[in-house]
Amino acid sequence: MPIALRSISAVAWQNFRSMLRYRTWPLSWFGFPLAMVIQFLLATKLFAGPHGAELSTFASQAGTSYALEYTLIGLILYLWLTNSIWYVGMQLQDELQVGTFEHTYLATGNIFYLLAGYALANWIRNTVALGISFCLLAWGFGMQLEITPLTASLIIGLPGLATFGFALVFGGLVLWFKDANSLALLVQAFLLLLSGVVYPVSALPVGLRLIAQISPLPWAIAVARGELVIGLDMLRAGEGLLLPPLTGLAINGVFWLLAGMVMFRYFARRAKSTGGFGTF
Amino acid sequence: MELLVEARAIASTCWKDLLVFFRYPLRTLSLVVEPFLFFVPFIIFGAMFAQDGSAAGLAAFVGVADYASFVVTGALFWNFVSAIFWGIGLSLREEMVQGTLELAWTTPARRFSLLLGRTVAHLITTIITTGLMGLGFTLLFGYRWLGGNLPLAMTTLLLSLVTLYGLGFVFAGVVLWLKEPYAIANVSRIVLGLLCGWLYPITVLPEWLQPLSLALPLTYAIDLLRAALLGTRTLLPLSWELVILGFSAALCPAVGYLLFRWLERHSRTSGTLGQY
Repeated sequence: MPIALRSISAVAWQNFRSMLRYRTWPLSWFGFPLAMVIQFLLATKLFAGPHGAELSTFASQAGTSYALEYTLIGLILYLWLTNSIWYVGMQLQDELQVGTFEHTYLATGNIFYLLAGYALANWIRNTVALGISFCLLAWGFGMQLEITPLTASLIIGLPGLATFGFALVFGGLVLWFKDANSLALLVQAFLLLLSGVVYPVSALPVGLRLIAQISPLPWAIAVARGELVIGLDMLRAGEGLLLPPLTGLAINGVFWLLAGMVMFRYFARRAKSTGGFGTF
Repeated sequence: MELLVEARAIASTCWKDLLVFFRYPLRTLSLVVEPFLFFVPFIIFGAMFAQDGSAAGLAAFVGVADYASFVVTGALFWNFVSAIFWGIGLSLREEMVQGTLELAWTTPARRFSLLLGRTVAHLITTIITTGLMGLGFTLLFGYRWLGGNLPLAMTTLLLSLVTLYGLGFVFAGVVLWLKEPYAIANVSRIVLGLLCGWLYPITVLPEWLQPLSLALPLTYAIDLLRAALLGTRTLLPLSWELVILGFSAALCPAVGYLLFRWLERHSRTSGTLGQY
């Protein structure tokens, strides 16, 4: 097996085992996502009225009257992406605190293998936990969503590059700021506000819409909603309607991957030269 | 004389906690900005179902169509719940980690004074952060709270705060006992968030969950607050809800403090007070 794969899978396995080590893992894997999404879904039922009379008003703005499905897809992808973005940085912070980061960094493997290992472990966890949550909620609220393994894989896989790039940027920021918790909460709140998670991005003022486009989240949500709620087919993008978000996602992926690698290297070099590499 | 000494202990603890709070301006700012940004999407989401600022679906459930004020009232109340219910316990945990809890506990001051000082500081910081959020919502989303029944709203808020501090004492005791507070904080946050109806009236919950929701005093607190400020329909007659809330305000602090003392004694006798 090539050394890259061996390193990535070894880190992912070690990381995955430590995730399962703590008995409260079902709570963080399932409790929070389910609670957050259920609150929004109940709010959807509230605003739609006792017999769904206001769904037509919703449809005039969102393009579909399937408000529950619309909301569920946006929130699950939001949770999936924000979790992926922050996980690498949080793991680095953990290693800094436990005191193993400098040792790992001095190992012969490329540092990006280590970071990719973290991301892979979290990708598996996220896919399992949020996939099960998605199915439970769709079933519990009586939604009708036709989803095949292929479309599910594409919806999760397509934002992968951009997400990993984004994660590298925040991993670098952790090396610089040390305590990234407050920053993480702020950026998560901004992403919820700007990415069209529970409403279309077009509901925002023009200036904010432009800012929203620098993150992969609104593009990924647009693709997933187009595919699952509106009934478009991303595999036949020639139909045209899904081409803009797919292109946006691709450009976003290349940009953030390159930016992430450059910025992580910069922040790591900066932390080393100021002597703050292993401090927290 | 003894009372004066205890008052000084309360004031010193309060002042110390306020100094720590204002020592980290970024963290203080994020306490206002982060929840504010988190709640704004709920308002925009409500707007998706509204025509000319009026949400007919909401009106059918609660009798009021002003979705923004409905969401904001719940959000501000939830901010109080988050800060008070879990805040005292988590700040005790910080003292355990920093190693100063045992030192404070060995001073001649009563435990009650130390806890009360912390509580007062906490109340001041919570009022500041929630007030700033409320100001932001009023300026940006036209949050209408001035037209309501302010004496009833203040009475409800006061009774709710007393109830919340009682529950906060219990949580603080559990922190001293179990050491690892985050799992319990998370479970209680999930349960309360879903059941107390800060974002929706509990009538949208499945019928089998509604009795559980009705067993929580916070359900009546938020329901009364919305009725007082916005004129929404209440779950039970208003006077009944007020009596229930008053009863829980009388009961919770006393029971909460007794439980705190019992759990604290347990962790002292087992020699684990300062451990974490």
